[in-house]
Amino acid sequence: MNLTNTNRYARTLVRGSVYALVALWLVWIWGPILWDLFTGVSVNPQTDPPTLIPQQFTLEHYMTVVQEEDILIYIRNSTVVTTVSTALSVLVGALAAYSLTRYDPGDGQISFFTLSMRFLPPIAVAIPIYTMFIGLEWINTWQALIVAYLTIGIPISTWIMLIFFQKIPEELEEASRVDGWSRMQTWRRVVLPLATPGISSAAILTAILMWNEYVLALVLTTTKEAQTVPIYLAGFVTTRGVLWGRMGAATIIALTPIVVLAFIAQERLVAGFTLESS
Amino acid sequence: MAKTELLNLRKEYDDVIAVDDISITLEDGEFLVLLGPSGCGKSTTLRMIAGLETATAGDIRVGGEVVNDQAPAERDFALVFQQVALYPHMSVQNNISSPLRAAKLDADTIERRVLKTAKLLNIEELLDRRPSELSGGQQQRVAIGRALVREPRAFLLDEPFSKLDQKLRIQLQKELKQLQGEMEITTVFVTHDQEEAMVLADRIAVMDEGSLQQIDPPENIYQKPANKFVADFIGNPTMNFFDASIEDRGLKIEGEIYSEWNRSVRHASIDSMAARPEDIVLSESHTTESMLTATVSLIEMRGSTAYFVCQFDSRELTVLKKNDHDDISEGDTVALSFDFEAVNLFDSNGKLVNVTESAVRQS
Repeated sequence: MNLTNTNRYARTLVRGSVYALVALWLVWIWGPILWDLFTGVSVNPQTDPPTLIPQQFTLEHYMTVVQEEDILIYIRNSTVVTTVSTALSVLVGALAAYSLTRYDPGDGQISFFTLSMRFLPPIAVAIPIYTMFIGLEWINTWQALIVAYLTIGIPISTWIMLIFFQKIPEELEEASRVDGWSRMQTWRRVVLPLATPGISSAAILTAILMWNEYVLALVLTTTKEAQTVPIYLAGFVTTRGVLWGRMGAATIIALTPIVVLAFIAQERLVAGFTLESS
Repeated sequence: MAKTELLNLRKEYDDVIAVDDISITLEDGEFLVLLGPSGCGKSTTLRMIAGLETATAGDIRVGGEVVNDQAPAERDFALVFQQVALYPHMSVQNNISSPLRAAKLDADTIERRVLKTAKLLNIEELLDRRPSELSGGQQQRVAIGRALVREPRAFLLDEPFSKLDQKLRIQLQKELKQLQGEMEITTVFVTHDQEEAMVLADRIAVMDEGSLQQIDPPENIYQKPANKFVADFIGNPTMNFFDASIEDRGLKIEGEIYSEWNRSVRHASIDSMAARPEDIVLSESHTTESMLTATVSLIEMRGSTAYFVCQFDSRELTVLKKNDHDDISEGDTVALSFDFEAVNLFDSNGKLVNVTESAVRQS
């Protein structure tokens, strides 16, 4: 009798702590976003920092951000740069990862080497890149950011996809070639469909990295012709104080596209996994 | 259909010789089994025929034409893999139709042939399923279907049944043999299982360490092994080996002369004798004649047959228990005599010495 009681207490305790941890985690994750959400809709949140729950609500900051401050231009820049650099990263990464799993001449050294650029702090790389792009007259252009981002995106997506390609048995490709399909056809109809979950994961993670990248964008772009959202958001921290309201509104707007993308990709990711297991 | 020939086929990986100058001519419609221990080069040979490995030297000829540089599909050989290798993201229907779609046949023909093949293999109810929803045996049937559907020039199978349980394996062996006979399709089957080889083969090619040891019908492989390796590898229980030499008075086996050896073979370099468990005769050792003796250490029951395991000169011999052996029990000392019609003699190089032929010539 006593024992079952102790058991019940123990179980309640464990369950309670799990819930507490999850709750803490949710506050940790959602807290800043909620805070941004509230700040963005409160009237004149000029206390420093503003209170969490606003007294009065307004859409004024959203209007300002969209109509006067051209957030849509920054979003356009970010979208173009993120889309193109992610697409190229995943394309090159998929081919590279596949090649490395099938014909790795360096015995793992090559895949390790591709990551080596990430060993340096980004700012150490940003300066030399900046000097090179001056020579190309690429400063403050989309292609400058895209090319610079590929040095991060390709290794990351290669590494993520390596694991997925390794799981595809070589016999499947041999079977396809014996069936009469060429190597390229085999890649398209056997390897690629089975690698879908890996490709989606690589795409999401690379896109998130690109969307939020700050240091390279700060160095390589100078005006809103090419500047991306993170640079715009950082601009609310001015010498005369932080523009809390606009920053909250802009953050929520900037967050939306990548969240939507992640949800869509996640759905595809799940579909990809079930495809593989069924 | 055209004859397929392997001419001095060779495959080297860095320092390792995987396949060492193999020459085999595949007769039309024959069932050839490549048999050997793992790592003997049998799978590599098959993969070279399929076109998945390129030969280091030598030719593969189909109807006289060298096909070494042709892609797998151009050679028109179908291959069934040990790991089944069905496309997990495609239905059974699409798995089977894959080679037909690759050949760009029209939809009606594809549907007709897939259905025909599925009926042949009793898998027509499974066409809409995914490979992961099938049992191991069903998966292997689908894999065979994918190979059969294209009506290939030859059918290559790489240990396709090794992952299945015994009952299913025997069932599929039977079906495959039947199917092969009906379709008269040239077949090369790789296995390390000698019983499977015996059941299936018209001819068995025994390989070891990359080279061909013997290629013959199963009964020849069993009765007249070309060398000591084949003698030792084929047969379960395995052959018993003895040192032997020809003397004036008969055959000297492990120091004892057997004078009932009445053949006048004089082969200077006879070195050893191999006797199958059924070719050794035991008798209680009270005879005056000098004979080899051994001690029965175990009687091993194997269903319808039983074997004596005998201790002989710190080795074990396996001898088939015959009807007149009922009074021999464990611990007895027995005398060994041999059925000299059936035993095989080998020279010092381990090659079979053809006794009957020599005997005819000598007498």
